[in-house]
Amino acid sequence: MQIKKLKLQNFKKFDTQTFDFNDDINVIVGDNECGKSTLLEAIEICLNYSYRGRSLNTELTTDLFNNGCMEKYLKGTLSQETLPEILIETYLEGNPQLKGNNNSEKEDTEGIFVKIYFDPDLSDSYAEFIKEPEKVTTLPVEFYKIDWYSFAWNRVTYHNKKINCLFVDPSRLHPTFGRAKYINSIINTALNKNARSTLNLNFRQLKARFDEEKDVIDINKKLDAENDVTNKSLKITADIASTTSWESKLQLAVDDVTFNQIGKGEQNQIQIKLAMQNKAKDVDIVMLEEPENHLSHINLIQLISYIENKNQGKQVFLTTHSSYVLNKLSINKLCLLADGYTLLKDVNADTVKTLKRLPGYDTLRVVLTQKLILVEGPSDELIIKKIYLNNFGRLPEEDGIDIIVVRGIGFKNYLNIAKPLNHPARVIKDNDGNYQKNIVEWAIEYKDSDFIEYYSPHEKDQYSLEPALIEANGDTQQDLDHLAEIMLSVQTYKKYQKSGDLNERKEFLRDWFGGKDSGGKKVDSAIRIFDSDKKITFPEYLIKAVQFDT
Amino acid sequence: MTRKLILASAGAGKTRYIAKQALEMAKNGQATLILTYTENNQKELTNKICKVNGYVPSNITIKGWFTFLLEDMIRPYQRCVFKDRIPGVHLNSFNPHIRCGRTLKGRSEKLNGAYNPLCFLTKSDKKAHTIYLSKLASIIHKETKGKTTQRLAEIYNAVFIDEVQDLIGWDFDIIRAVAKVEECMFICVGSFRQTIYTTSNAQKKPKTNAEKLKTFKKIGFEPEYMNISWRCIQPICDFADLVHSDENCYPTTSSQVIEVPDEHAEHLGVFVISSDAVSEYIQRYNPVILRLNKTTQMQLCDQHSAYNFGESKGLGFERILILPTKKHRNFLSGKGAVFDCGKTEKAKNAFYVAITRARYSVAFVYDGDVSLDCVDVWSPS
Repeated sequence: MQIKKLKLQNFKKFDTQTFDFNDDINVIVGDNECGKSTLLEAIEICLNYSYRGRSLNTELTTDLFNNGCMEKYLKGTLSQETLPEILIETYLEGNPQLKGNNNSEKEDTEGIFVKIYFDPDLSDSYAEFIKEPEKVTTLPVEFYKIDWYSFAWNRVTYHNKKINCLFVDPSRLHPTFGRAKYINSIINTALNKNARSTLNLNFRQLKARFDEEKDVIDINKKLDAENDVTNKSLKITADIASTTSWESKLQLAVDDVTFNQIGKGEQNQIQIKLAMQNKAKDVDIVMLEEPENHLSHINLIQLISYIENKNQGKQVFLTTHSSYVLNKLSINKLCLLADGYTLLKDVNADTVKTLKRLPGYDTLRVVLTQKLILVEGPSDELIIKKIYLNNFGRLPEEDGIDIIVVRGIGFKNYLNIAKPLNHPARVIKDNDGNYQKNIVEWAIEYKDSDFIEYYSPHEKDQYSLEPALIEANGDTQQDLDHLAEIMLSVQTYKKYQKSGDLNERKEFLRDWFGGKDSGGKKVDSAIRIFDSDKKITFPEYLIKAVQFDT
Repeated sequence: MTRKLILASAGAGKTRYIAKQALEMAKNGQATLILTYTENNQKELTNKICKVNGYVPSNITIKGWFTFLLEDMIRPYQRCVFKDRIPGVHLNSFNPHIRCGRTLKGRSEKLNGAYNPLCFLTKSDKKAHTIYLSKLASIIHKETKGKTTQRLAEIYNAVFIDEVQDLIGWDFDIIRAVAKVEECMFICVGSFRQTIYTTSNAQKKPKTNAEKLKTFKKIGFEPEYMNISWRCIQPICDFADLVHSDENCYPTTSSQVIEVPDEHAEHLGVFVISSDAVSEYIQRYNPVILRLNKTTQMQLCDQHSAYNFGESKGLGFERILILPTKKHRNFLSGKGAVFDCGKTEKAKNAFYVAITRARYSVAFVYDGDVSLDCVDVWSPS
């Protein structure tokens, strides 16, 4: 079974929000505090009736309510019908028993919902509670009740829902989060039903074996040999009642070290792998919180390919801050939480493939920064930072401007992500001697995406950054010498000085940066410009590229 | 797809038939819904399935008729009629809208063009009256243009109704609706001669067995007879068949009991016993006593296992002793059409049920003349 859609009302960060999902993998991405975990928590509540691993009944607090709706209630008349409600709806596929049109969209479809609302049976007590309105400072969740129904409006039970989700959240290993129960839910999913019963049986037989151990019998014989204490037989016996199953007494151990004592990274990996394996085949939905946590890059690579290979028949939701995780699991599985929610689906197929093969590129930065500048190489980045520093006294990243050097995979793989997301991007690109061909025609596939802007000199002879700098500082020989002195090493500057008049000097500089293996020279020069206190004139297109309306 | 109506005689093994069919389908990965009216019969179905299979497979669902109407036919789309979730059903033993012979005001089906909650739901806790449950389901079915049964077909490959003779009136609207779903196999099994309860006080047709059979045929059901008995020996089958012989629509029941254990072989068939010989008879054969109700001949029934006619349904005994009602006595004396004066067929059917409980012998406490060939007079000597 799969979740097609999740709808939230008044739940934590979300007043009203709808989320569509992919059937296989959903990589949930967003800034800190944007509600990634909240989304997973909502799914857990709706499908398992539990919040962070514990029954929802005991976890009903004001924390679950959206702040806005609580404020509105407290500032209002307090009358009974203004009490806010939480609604969590999962629209599902795969079990027509759950079908009906009892959902907020009146859609005839399968689904389950949890509704947390004022219990009208308690309206007398509520009337008492609001008698002195000035004393009402909090939402009275004590008067609330919870419905857990299918869209057929029948009560959902653990037995009849036939959909199971498992929330792998390493922080639940902490003792206060009901660690034992959590580990057991993980172990349980990894075993098939026969294995579970066999374990339980063997565990109970331990008791018998303990009691029949010769040493134990001897000790028990001496315990009350004279029947002083009681006329009946007094014994020390193992406390393994048949009601306590193995689950609460057994532990995982790795190389004989108990699970909560092993390294965090190892814990993380083992939990996720056991959950993905799911020998019992009874988990439909696996939710993973930041699987990259505590893992070295190599371990992360292994874990992600494990997830990729073992996800058949399961719907996976994972949150991440890692571009690697996103690229590897496919950029078109991106669920972006930022100013609302976007499911990225229509990504150019070549870009998806390229990024799967070369997952090291920082695609997440493209998705998350609002002020994005794409540049060709490190020297462009340095010069832009210098311009910004000169103008505003700060580095661009301090103002949320992110400069990405596109390197080997080129501009287009990045633009192919920005385009379907309607994500603003500034492209600073060399015209390579032909503005029409290399900028205008090159960008023709993004012509409808006016949120993508291009910054490049129009002139043929300003074919890249260095010639543009030369032109900007080339009105007089004095200006040019000043630039050359900053850009060049002492030795090269001496050669430059011997090269003749203004035009010949320009020619020298262009040749210097134009030849083979000039990459290093360019970066060196850019660093010199960045480090220098002396002023030079910067090309107009670069100055414009760093001007953002505030 | 199959639309079959199986007309079974008592003891024909219809519950076992359903159990086997459902298990067969379950084995092929198909989901089956088995519906029946009484709780006892739900248990009986579960037991039969377990007897054959050891456990009830997860793709066989057994539901009571009211639960089915509420969970599958009403709630999923009830908002087209009533906005608030119907929390449950209220079992009516009489029409809730009639008090002291008068119809209460404000209980009409529709009020100002909308469906009237007071007609279908209880006033205080808004539970659905069982008497109008199938009517409500049928309204929702029509309002949603058949979404209810489409949903049903998505869940189940086959629907079986056991004891279908217990259904009546609007229940048949539901049968008609389910029968329209092409992709679903639909088999109804009933023993019409055993109709003694009905799901609601009849207000709408079909009410009688004849009307029900006609409706089934009209809907497109192919009747099929299961006129055998795994319980009763042939003389008892023959006698039981006499009860409904005036209706001319039930073929002769043929007994499948081949061997009778030696200890019972000496006393087989249908007998009358004079009142003064009863205690002797009881002592010798230890029959189970069947009576109209608890107040019937209490002294005689004391210390013996005794059942009312109604509660004996579904049970089987080696030997029975019937304490006959006036109608039963008339029947034994050979008067025809003894049951026709009743408003319902209940008395007639209860008589049939009582007789067919016995494997080897049926006896009546009766002092008059007997004009039926198949009945012998028993005397202690």
